[in-house]
Amino acid sequence: MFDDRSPIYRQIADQVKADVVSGALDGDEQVMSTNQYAAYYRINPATVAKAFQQLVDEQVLYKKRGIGMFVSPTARDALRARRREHFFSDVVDPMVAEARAVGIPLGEVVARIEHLADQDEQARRAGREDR
Amino acid sequence: MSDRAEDRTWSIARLLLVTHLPFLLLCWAVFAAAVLVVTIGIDLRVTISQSVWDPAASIVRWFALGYGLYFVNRMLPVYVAHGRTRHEFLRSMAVFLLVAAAMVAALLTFGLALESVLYRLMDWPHRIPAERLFDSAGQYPLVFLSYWAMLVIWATIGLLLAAGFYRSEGWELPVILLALAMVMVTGYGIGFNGLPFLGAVVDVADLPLAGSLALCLAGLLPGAAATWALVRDIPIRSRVV
Amino acid sequence: MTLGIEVAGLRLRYRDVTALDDLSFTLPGGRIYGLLGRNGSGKTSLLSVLAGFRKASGGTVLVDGQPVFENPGITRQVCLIRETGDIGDRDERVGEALHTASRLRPGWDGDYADALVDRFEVPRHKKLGELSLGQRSTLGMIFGLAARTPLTLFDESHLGMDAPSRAAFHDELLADFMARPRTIVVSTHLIDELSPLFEEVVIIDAGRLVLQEETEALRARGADVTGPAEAVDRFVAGRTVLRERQLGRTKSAMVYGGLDERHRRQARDAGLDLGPVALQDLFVHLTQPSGGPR
Repeated sequence: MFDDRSPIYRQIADQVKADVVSGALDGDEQVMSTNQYAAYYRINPATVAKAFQQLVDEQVLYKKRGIGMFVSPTARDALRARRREHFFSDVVDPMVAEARAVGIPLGEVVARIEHLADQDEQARRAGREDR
Repeated sequence: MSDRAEDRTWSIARLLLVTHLPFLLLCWAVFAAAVLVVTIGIDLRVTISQSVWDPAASIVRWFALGYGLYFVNRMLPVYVAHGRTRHEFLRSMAVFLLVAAAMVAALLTFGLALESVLYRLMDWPHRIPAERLFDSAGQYPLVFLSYWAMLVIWATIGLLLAAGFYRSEGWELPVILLALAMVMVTGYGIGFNGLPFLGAVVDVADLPLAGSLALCLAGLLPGAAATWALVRDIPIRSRVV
Repeated sequence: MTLGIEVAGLRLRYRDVTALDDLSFTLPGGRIYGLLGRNGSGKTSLLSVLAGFRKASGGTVLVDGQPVFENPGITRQVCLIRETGDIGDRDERVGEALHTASRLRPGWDGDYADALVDRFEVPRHKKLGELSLGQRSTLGMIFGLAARTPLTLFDESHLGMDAPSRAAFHDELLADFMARPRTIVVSTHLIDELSPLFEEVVIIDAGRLVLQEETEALRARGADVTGPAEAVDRFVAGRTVLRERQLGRTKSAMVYGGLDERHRRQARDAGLDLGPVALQDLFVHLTQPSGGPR
């Protein structure tokens, strides 16, 4: 269900984008119609339409007239690229600020990250693919 | 349902008639049985010297009043709640009242005729109260007209009282006064004394038929007009069941 | 078939009370609207006038471009659901009340009404006066749906219905609205529960219009700014503040007017936390007796 405080259309759009990035929604796959979405979440179809419009503007979805809304084949890559762009300002910088706020030396943070990188390397060598 | 006002009025009036006429017929049957029982009861004690049916029939006017009260108090709000206008209500009600009253009046006339037959067989005098417009059961048109007028007028009084009380805002007293005036005026006209404590001042037998009818209208029309004026923009209150 | 509503300079006075005072707004049809207001704000009066239950004391009320009051072409297209007593008598049975509706309302869908009565388990044989409060409300909402009118108004019709019943009903309302678009206005106190259904909300207070806004846009307009008191004060200076709370040196201010990306970064940089504000909270502070937003 939705957090009933922030705009619902934004939450819907964010959820669709998350599904696209995670692979739950594939490129050129059809998403639920506005009415189906509205009925499922018990919200006004106009709200869903607004979310879809935003996603169309952001080129995450495209519309096939008379059929419905589809995930753009380039959406996943584009979204991941966008998240990569903001990764450092939106994720790393706040993490560092938090580490500072709670008193963790940055050296420890770096050590932890290197440890995780080693694990990745071992997994790759063991032949398992990492996505 | 078609859009024309006449069709709407007719269809609703027809609906009311279909719903209510059988009920009224049944009521009449019960009434007739009751009058018969009362007649027999009286016969056991004293010699019968006058009609029982006619005085009983004049009591039916209170039943008509009740109908009028019921229509405005109960049916009008439901009408409006279901998307009908007050004018549609008034028109359908008027048609229904006139027709239903005619049917009941016809039944009462018939009953009086039956009683006269019974009385002849039993050798009882079939005396009619003096203030009536008619003086024997055989004057069918006059009997019918009297009963019909009585029912229509008293139903209208019911409509008027209900309208005043429902609307409130100080209309209660004026409608009571108007109702009393209607009773007095039409009472002289139709030969039915309105209320027990209002004695007939004018001897109705002296009035020509046209004069009686004029009095009826003189009493009825202001009542009907006042009802229309009160109902046509009456606010519909919320009612908890 | 959808009907638009145009209200201009609407006034309603009865006895000594001014229930509606120079109210003006326009609702294009075909949407679900929420009508919000405190007790005594004039919601019921407004709905009564829209449905022709009352005559306006002044101003105009147009539905589909035509006056409503005593206009049969319009009133038959409007259905207002309020108390159960509107629909029938205490002594009338549910089945009889349904029958009356079918005879008086040209567009009445009897099959749909029957299906809903069965589905929501309203006892058909019972008298209206014998129904529980929840059952009466359910029946009222069934009438509102089965009337299938292009303009359907619900005046706090879910009193007494428990949460699961309301949820079931809202599913039904939504499904029917999507299948047959019309104009629906729902007046309610359950703002946060129902607001997802509303495309637009109209807020009235003391008989006047406070605002009319797309629900989502209104939602986005509120923000809770929390942090050290001085930082908060600096940030909210010059903005519309609906409410302030302070605990020790931490202050929280409810701001009204929307914050763009730049302001959000400013807030973050100043060490302030930004959170959304529930519509119900916005509503409470927009309709305060002390006059709402400064």
